[in-house]
Amino acid sequence: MEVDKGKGEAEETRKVAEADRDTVTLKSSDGKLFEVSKEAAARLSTVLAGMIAGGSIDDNGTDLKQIGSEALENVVDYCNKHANSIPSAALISSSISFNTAPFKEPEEWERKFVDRLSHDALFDLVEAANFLGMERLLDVTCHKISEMMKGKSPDQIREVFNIKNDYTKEELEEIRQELAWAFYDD
Amino acid sequence: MEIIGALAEARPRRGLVEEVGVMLGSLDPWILVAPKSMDMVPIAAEGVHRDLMVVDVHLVEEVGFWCGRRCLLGDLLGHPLGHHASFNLVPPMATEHALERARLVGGSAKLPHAAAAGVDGCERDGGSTPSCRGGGREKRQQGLMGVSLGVAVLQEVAGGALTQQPSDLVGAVGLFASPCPPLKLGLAHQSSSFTQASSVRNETEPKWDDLVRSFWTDGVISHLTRIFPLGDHLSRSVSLALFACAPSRNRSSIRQSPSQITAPADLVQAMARPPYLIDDAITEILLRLPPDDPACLVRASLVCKAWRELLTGPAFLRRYCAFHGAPPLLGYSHNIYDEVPYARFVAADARASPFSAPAFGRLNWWVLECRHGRVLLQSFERHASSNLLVWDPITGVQHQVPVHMTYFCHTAAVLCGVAGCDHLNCHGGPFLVVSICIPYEEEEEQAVDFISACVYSSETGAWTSSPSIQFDAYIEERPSLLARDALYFTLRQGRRILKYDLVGQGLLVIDAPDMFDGIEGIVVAAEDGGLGLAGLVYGDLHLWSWQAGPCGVADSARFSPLLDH
Repeated sequence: MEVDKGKGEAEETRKVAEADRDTVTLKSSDGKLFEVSKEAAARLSTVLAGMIAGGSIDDNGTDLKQIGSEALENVVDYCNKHANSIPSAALISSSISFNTAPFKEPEEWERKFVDRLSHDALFDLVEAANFLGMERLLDVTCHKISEMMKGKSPDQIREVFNIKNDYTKEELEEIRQELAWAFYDD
Repeated sequence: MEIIGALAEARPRRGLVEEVGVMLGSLDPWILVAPKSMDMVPIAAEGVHRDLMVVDVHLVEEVGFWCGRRCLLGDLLGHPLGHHASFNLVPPMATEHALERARLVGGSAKLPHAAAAGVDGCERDGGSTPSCRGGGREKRQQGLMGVSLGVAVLQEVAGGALTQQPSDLVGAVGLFASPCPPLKLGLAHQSSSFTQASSVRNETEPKWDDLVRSFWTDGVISHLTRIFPLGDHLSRSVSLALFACAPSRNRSSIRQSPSQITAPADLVQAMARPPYLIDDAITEILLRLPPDDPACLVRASLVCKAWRELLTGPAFLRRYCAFHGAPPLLGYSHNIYDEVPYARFVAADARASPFSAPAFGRLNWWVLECRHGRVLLQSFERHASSNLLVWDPITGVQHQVPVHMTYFCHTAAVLCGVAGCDHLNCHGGPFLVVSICIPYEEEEEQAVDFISACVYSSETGAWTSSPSIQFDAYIEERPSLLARDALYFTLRQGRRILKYDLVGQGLLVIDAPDMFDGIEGIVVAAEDGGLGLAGLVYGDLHLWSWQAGPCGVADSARFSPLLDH
């Protein structure tokens, strides 16, 4: 098994505080290990919170087979940044009731965080956030992608998502005529 | 002083701007504010907009259209004569978030000042002191306040270049509404009037009790800041998916947990799986498409069939409504009186509007109210084959309601006819028209008036009448309130309220609290979803809610003032 340099650190930490560690170790699909504070993980990810509460965290690295190392690195990065930022009242409330409370604008650091991501990394991060039940991260990344769709034609949106057009020409034309108002600037 | 110049120009044109005033939607929480005048007490005592305040409630006669839900709008926006007029839709409660936005915007702090200059101008002109109540002159002044505010807003927006395009006016409104913090309704407790109101209370009479808060949830407000994002093209404030959003009261009931509202599994399965497709994350992304740009949703639906199915599915629509809270303004209908009555509909954005143009415009018709995506109009032509018309702005369908042969209709209300409907997509469905009317024979001969409620069902195409009750009050032609299973109509300048129970089909007259004598309160939905009453006394907004008695008996019911929380 491939062991990267993070593993040594993880083991050391485990020895120091075996009983009550304040971090959890996560393992990406390609076997890399990442440490993240237990508190942040539990607070930001409903899935990790459940695993921590249920004792299913593996100290040698909890397998997250669905998440690549790049995405997991971003997840951990996000958790750390989140822990360091002073959460505003708005953010706290949004992470509690994400699906019922109207969306809260991304904070400045969150905006920067998603802006620096490559196109692929952004989409991978959405998947990771979705998988881990990280509502706020999902919120911020999805918001970024929906912003990318603004003002774009269906063709351009397909390009963004790499989606194949399965409409026939006639079907498209029919819908366009029916909803002509939506294409005022084409 | 460009603003005063604009005022002087606007003023002689017509008195339409008089109708600016406070707007308290019967079902909806938007308040129209005008700049503070000399003798009015600001009711928003914090934030940059403390100089803004509510002006006269009873001046508002216009019926607005808030995305399938009825609300009142002050007339003015996009008036064909091109008034430099505008108003603000301001939610009365702020979240910290909205406040923060307001502070960030900063520039809006100039507005009250600019507008106040306009008020000074018209005050000199009018030569009397503005007041919340009173005659035409005061009304005119308040209208002009609205005008000056609109001008100020437009100048801020357009860098001094005033434009008369309706869509730009809407944009200006949006812009200004966006940073607006909250008129905290609770702040009205600073006035002495609430104390007075409380003194109405005693143990035997129906009375007002303590209860409070605003009618609005925090989400509505923070959402407002998103409906009208600064610097965006604001007038595209239409949303395809939100056309028939449920009333805010029901919003909580349509909120669902994430597990309940993900896209149908088979739909996700049906999607192709290209590299960037992220299953139900697609839903999360589409959910965040801005409601103020419905064209964006339409374009997304043309990406592939799976997206179209997803976007048009009821699950997505429900969730989209819940996610975005209050829907944006699609357009509104209003009444103009220019020699003859004229009912007119104005789409919020002439370009990207889903309304087929020309939307609506009829001489000799009058908008009575809007509800559940339908507009109810009344004809002034005495011998028309139909004097009530229900129009659906989304589908464009007009339904003539046949004249009731034995009753004279005073006022009427329209509502969706499907029990338990969430009004997310009930366009074209059955509806009811409830007409408050007087039997013809009794109208002419009897000393004592009787009144009946007649209900027309579009399904049966027939009227049914309730037993009449004795009645001697004038019915105001104002939009009614639908609260719980009852409709409320304003009587005698708001001193009384007529309740029509949609279930029991009975009529009941409720007396407003004494303080509403002469201030023309309007019926509004209270926080608990029941009947509320709002009125202004010298700039203080008073909100009362109707509390059912311990046994739910009407006799023991009472009004309660809404105090600060």
